[in-house]
Amino acid sequence: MTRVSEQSSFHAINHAVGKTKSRLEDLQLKGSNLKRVQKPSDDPIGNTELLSIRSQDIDNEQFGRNISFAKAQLAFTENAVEELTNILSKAKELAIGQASNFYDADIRKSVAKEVEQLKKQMISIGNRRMGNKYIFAGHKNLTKPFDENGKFLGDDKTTNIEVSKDFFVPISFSGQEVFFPDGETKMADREPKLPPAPKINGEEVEEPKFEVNRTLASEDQITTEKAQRNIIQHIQALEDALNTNNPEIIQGLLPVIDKDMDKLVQIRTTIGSTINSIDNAFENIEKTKLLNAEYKSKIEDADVAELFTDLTRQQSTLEATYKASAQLMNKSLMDFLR
Amino acid sequence: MGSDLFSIGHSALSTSKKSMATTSHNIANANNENYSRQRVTTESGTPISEGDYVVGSGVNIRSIKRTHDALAEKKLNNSISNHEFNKERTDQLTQVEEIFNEINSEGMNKILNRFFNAFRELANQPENEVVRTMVRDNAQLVVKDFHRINESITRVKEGIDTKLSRSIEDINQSAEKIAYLNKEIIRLENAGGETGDLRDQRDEATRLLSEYFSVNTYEDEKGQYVVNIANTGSLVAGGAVNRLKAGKVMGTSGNGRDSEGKVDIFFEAQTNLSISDNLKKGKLSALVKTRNEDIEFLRGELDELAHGLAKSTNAVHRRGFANKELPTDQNGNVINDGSAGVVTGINFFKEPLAKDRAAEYIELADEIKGDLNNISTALAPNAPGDNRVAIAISKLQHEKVLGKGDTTLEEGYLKAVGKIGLTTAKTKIDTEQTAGILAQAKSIKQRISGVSLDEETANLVKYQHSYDASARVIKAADEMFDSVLGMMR
Repeated sequence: MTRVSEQSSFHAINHAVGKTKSRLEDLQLKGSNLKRVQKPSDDPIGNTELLSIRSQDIDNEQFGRNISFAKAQLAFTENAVEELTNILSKAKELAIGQASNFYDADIRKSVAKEVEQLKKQMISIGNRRMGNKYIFAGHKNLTKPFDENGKFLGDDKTTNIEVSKDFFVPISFSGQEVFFPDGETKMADREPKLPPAPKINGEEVEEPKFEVNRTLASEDQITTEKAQRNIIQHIQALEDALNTNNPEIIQGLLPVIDKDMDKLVQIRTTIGSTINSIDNAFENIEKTKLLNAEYKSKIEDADVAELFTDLTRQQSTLEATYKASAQLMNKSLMDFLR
Repeated sequence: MGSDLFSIGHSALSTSKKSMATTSHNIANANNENYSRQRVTTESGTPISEGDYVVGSGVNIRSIKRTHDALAEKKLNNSISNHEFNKERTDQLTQVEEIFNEINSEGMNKILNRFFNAFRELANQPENEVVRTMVRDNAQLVVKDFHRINESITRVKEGIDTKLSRSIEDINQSAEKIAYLNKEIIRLENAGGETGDLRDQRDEATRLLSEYFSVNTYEDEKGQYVVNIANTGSLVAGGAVNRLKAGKVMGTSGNGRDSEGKVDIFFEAQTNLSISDNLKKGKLSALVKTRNEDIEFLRGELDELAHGLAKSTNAVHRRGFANKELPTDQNGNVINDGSAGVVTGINFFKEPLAKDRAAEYIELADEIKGDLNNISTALAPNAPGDNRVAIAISKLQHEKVLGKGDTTLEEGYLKAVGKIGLTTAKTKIDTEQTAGILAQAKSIKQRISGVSLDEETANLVKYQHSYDASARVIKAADEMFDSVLGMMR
C-alpha cells in the first residue's frame, strides 16, 4: 500500500493540473492566430527556413519592381525608336522623290525645309527624357546628348539591372548604338549577362572587376568616330544636298538611309527579345512566390483540424483532472465520524 | 496494589494525552510542506515482581520522532538542483530568444534585406535623390537594429550579473541559518530534547541552497552537519560558515570583454579564486553558463556580422564615384583638381577598427550622413546614370563575406538565430522533464513524511478511546479504594 499524505496528493493534483493547463495555454495561443511557430524555439530549423524564405520574398518584391521599371523604360525606348523609323521612312520617300533630275532647285529648297523639320524631330527624339534622365545619353544621362547640329555628346555605356536573382538585362540603349549604324555593336553584347561579383577573400575585398563595355577610345578611334556620322547627320547631309541641288549625293544617301533603317529595326528586335526575357523572369518569380507561400504555410501554419482536436482533448483531460481532484479533496474520514 | 493501578492509569493517561498533542501538532502542520509528521513511540514500563508474580507497571514514552528518509531527501535536493538549472536557463534563454524573434515583427534579417534591396532600387535610378534618401534611411535602420540587439543582449547580461549578486545574500542567509540550527540541535539533543522540528527547518534551508547549486550533505564523525557545494568546498561545517561573495574580477585576462568586469562568485576567505565555473547545476551555474557561453557566442556572431557588412560594403563603395560633376578639359578628360571635394574612396559605414564590438560601434560614415551625393553608385566619374557600384553592393547580399569567405551575411545571422532557437528548445524539453522528476521526488518525500489527515483523525479517535479507558482505570482504582475505606467505617 502506498501511503498518501495531504501534501503528496496536493502535489500530484497540482502537477497534473499545471501540466494540462500549460499545454492548453500553448494550444490556445496557437489557436488564436493559427500559427504553429511563435518563437524560434518552437521550431528552430523551420524558423530559419522561414526567415530565408521571407528574404527571398522581399528580394522578389524588389525584382518585381525592377521588372516594371525595366519594362517601362524599354517600352519608352522602343516607342522612340519606332518614331525614328517612321521619320526615316518619310525622309527616304522624300529622298527617292528627289533623287531623279525631275525637280529643280526651288522645289528642292522647299523639300529641304521639310527635311529640316524631320531632322529637328529626330534631335528632339534623341534628347527625349524619361523623368529627368535622357534615355539615349548613356551614363551621362543628366546632360543633353545631342546638340542642335545632331552632334552626340553622351557616352556609349548601357545600364543593366537585376530582374531576378543573378539575371541582368540592359534597360538603356546609348545614342552611340541607336544613332550610329556603323558603330560596331555586336548583338552578342546585348545579350543579358551576369555582372562579375566582387570576390572577398577573408578580410579584404578584392576590387570588383567590372567589364568596361569598351576600352576608352584611343586617339585614332576618336578621329574615326568623329568622321563617323550618325543618323541625324545623314539627314543633315540630305538637307544640304537638297539645298545645293545635288541629286547624285541624294542618290548616294539612299542606301545609307536604308542601312539606318535596318539598324533601327534590329534595335527594336533586341528590345522586344529583352522584354520577352523579362516576362519569362516575371513568370518565374510568380511561380517561386507561389511555391514559397505554400512552403511557408507548411512550416508556420498550424494544422487546424489537428490543433482543435488537440485542444478539445486537452480540455477534456483538464476537466477529468478537476473532477478526480474534487473527489479526492472533498472526501475525508471526518465525514464518516459524525 | 491499588496505588499501582493509580500509577499505571496515570502513565496511560499522560501517554494518551501526549500522543493526542502530537497528533494535533501533525494536524496543525498538515499543510506545511516542510513538516515531517511526528510519531510517539512508547514502551511498556519496567515490570515489578510481587511475590511470585511479575506485574507490568504501565507505559512510558520512549521518544517523539519525525518520520524522515535521508535518501528521499537527497534525491529531492538533487532534483531541485537539476530542475532549477533548467528552469533558470529557460528563463534567460527565452529572453535572449525574444530579441531574435522576428516571426511576428521586424528583425535584423528583414532589415538587412531591405538594405540590399534599397541598393537594387538605387541601381534602377541612380540619379534619383529620393531613392538615395531611402538607401540612407535603410542603412540607418540596419545600424539601429545592430545597436538594439547589442543593447538588449547587454541588458540580459547585466540582469544575470545582478541576479548573481542578489543570490549570494540568499545563500549566505541560508548558510547562517543552517549553522545556527546545527548548534541548537546539538545543544537540545545533549539536554535530551526533541529536535524533529529543528531538523525540518535545517532540511528546508538545505533545499533552498539546492536551488542555487548542487549540494552534498553529511554528518561527520563528531556528529557535525556539513554542507558542501559540489565540486568546490564546504559552505557550512557545524556552526562555522564559509561565506560566499559576488563581485567583479577586474582584468583577469587580456580579453577586451573580460576587463569590463563580469560578476563572479568566490569564497570570502579566498577572493582571488573564482568558483563560478566550478558550480554544478542549480540557478547559479545556469546563469553563468548562459552568460559565458550563449551570450558570448551571440555577441561574437553579431560582431562578425556587423564587421563583415561594414568591411565589404565599404570595399565596394570606395571604388565608386560620388554623384558630383567634375570639370573636364577639351578632350573630355576628367580633371580631378579637388575643387569638388572628395569624389571617390568614400566609406559607406565607418570603417571598423576590429571585429570586437563591431556591432556596438557600427555607424554610417560622416560623409554619407552629411551628403546624400556621397552615396557612390558609379564606377566612373561624371556618370550619373552609372549603377554598377550600386549593383555590386546589392550583390553582397548573396556573397560569402563572413568567416573564411564561406558564409553569406544572411547565413551567418540565421546560423546564430538557429543555434539559440535549438538551445532554447532543448532546455525547454529538459525543463519539462526535470519538472516531472521533481514532482515525483517531492511526492516520494511527502508520502513518507507528509501528514495524512485521515490517519491523524483515526489516531485521534484511538488516543481518545485510550484516554477514556485510562480514566476509567483510575476511577476503578478510586472505587476500589473507596470500598476498602468503607469497610473501616
